[in-house]
Amino acid sequence: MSVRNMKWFWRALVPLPLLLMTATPALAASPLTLQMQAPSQVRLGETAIITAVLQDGKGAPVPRATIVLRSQGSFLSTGGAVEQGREVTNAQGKVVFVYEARTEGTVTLNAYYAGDSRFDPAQSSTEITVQGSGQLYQETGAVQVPGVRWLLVGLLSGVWLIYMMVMVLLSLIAREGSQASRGAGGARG
Amino acid sequence: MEKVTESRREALERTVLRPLVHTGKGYRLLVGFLLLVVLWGAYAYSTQIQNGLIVTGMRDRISWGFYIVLFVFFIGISHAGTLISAILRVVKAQWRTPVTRMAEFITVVALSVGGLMPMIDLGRPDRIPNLFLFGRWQSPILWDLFSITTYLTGSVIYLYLPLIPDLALCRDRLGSEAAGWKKAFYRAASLGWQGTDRQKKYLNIALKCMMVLIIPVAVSVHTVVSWIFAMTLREPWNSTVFGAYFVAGAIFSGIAAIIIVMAILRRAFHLEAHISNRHFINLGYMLGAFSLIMLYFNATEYLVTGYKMAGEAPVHFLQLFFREYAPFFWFYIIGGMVIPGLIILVPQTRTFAGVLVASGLVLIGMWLERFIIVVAGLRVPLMPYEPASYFPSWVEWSVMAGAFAMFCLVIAIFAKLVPVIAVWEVAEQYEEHKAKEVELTPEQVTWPRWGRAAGPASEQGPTAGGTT
Amino acid sequence: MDSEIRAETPKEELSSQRNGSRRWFLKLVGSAGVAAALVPFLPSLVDKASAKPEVQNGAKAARVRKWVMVIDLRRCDGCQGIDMPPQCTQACIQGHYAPEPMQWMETYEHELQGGGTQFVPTPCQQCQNAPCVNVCPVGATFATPEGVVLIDQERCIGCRICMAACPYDRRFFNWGDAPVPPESRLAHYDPEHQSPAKRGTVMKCDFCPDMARAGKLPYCAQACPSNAIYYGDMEEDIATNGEELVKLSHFLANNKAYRLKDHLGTKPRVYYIPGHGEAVARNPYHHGRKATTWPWQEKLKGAQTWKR
Repeated sequence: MSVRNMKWFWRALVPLPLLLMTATPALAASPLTLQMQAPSQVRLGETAIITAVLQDGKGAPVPRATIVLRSQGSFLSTGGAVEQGREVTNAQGKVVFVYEARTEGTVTLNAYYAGDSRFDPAQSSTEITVQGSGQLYQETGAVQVPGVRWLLVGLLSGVWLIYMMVMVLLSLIAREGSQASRGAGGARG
Repeated sequence: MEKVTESRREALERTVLRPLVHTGKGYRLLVGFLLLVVLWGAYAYSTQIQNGLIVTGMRDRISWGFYIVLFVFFIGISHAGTLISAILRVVKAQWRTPVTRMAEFITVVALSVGGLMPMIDLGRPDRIPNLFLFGRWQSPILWDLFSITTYLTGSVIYLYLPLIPDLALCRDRLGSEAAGWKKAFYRAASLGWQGTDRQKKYLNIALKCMMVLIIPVAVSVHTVVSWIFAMTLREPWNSTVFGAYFVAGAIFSGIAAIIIVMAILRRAFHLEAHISNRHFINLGYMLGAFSLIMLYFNATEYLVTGYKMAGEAPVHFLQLFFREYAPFFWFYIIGGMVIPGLIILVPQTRTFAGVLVASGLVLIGMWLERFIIVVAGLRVPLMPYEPASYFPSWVEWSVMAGAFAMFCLVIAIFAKLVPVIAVWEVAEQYEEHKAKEVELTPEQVTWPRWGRAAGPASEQGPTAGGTT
Repeated sequence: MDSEIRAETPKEELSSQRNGSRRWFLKLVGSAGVAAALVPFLPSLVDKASAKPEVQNGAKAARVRKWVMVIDLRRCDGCQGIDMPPQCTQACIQGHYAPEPMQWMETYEHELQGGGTQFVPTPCQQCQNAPCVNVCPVGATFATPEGVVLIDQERCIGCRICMAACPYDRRFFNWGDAPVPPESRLAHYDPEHQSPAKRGTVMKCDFCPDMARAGKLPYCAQACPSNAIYYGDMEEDIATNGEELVKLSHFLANNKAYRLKDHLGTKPRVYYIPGHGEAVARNPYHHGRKATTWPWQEKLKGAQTWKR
């Protein structure tokens, strides 16, 4: 080969480093984006649909990734994160959470992707204001049979009324007795 | 004929009124002894007031004992009066008349003693007014309160109504012999009874009302007593049959109680001419019938539960049939129901003595049955722990003795205050028989023909023609 | 026949007497009717005070907590691991001055299929269809709007029908004056602070709602060394064991929570997550736990304990 041909060989190699540089990120862990969509407000006791989409740096969806939704809360002097849902992304990299608003006020919701061998962890955060008030949890009552109380009252009153009537009869006997002993007596039985 | 009936009636009055004015030494000794026992029971209770229920043998796991057993037992016996007096009056069974007064006595006294027992059982008897201030009608205990007071009131009325003519008799006949306070009592309590037609009309109306009313009231009483247990979720108590079972058991034990009390009073007051062995045999028939009914209920209860052996049933069956409570249970079944039933069914044993023995066995058996229901029922463990045991303390034994003594004592006092036989009713029966010109003696009754078995002559009692 | 005599008085006499007695009769019946209406027990019959307090459900009503307990049996080893009596029981006794031998929180050892055992800490189950509340004759045992079943020992008459009715063996009676420390006598009594113990009345676990309202866990939950006891609120659907927070409904559903004797229909507020201490490496064939103690240094004079 002549020196004139080798020159083009080396020139052909010039783009190589550039190619290598652009190719490397595709082989190492790439940054992800987790985007949440949630309503800003929800009424107490109602559910809010929260969607999250996990995409890689180029906007390609990441399927089969577990996303955990947690809310920040506190209860009985213990603060921390409460797991609200745990879903796996579909082919479009999307998960849908149903968040039931049970706590009043502004709630911070965080979505986490823990990361694996392919990807780094990612997270996203949103705030929802929960408005309204009212009791949500109601006990399922027992079967109420109406009128049992009054049945009892009725029965008892009936019996005691008859007793009263008998008392009246007794007083009549006494009255009759005093009359009879005073004047004309009846036939002695 | 006329002369005989007249002298029978006069003999009746004389015999029945005599105890009201003559008191023997035996009576005084008996009353003294009973009073001592009652006082001893009161003393035992006072230690309980002072130290709390810890003086009894009850504890958390078996939290009811003798007191509740006695409560159910005495309320059960109180059904005697209802059956004899009311039901037999409703069906117009002739032979019941000499027996009604004693039966009604027993009812009132048994209800009083029985009603006392839950109060003795309370941890805070000083808070009894809370039952009236804060009573919850949803509670079985309030149902008990309502029905027992209603029944007691009804029984007192029902005892008093047929007593009025007899009190008038006492007022008129016991002139100089009776004590002053007794005479005043007779005069006041007889309500000026002169035996006028109108008075009799009123009395009959009242009696008819009460005799019909008292039956459902009595049935309701022991039904709600049973619901103290059946309204809980305890394995041996969680049964729908409890209401009927307890009512049948109450009538059963009530009949036995009447037989025994009647036998004692007949002997003590020489009433053989007016209460013959025939009466005991008839009551014995009812005892036998109820022993069959009770056996049926027991068979139902244990067969249905035992077939399934659900939940804690195996524990209960083991303790009842084979282990800790087996002696009591089998005595109750065999001695308390099978043997009395056989005594009545077999003609050779169907005598006065046989009926008396059967009644004694029945009473003991029924007491044991109450004990088994309460204590063995509570003993079945609710959680994995060793079943507890219940051993009544001297306090509970003493209170029980005091309760029985009080029962006997009050009856004894009653018997000295009012005639133990409803004189006017029996006398009227004698007159009616005379008017119908039928030679019916008290022994001959309108009971099924097979009841008038040819037994020993003593069964017939004194025949017409002789005075006693 | 029965004693029936036909009236034979002349008609005129009868009618005039009848008029007079009829008026009198009617007067008496009238007053008798009034008297019957005043049957002594009627006031309490008509009284609206029933066992179920009305739920406040107005437009701007404050939300009412509905306390609940979840006991994770995967973490409970009966305190075998620390070789002590169950700490939940001990803390409850000490915090409430529970008289000996009452264990308001009691750890039973249930048998498992296959021969092992599991420890089940059992407080009062706070039933929503409580048999004890249903049968109490004076309403001394009652349910609060929060669903907690309490006892008013100043109303209790000591009839013990509630003890017969409770299917969980969770009620205790003051048979005598039980050993308690002297400081219990200084406590101000109310149904949520059952000190001092009153002889002749019933006691039990009260679920510590006073502590929950003050933002603290009950004594038993605080004391558990493996944080097996969660205390929660069904209204906010949240629970905690002092270490972590959980969404109550998911926690129950995901871990197959169950209730004791559910078939009885008592609707308890205490849930259990099945297990036998495996999360703290307990061998289920290792039976037995240490006996509970009532470690009062000083006891009231004249006190005596009893065997349950």
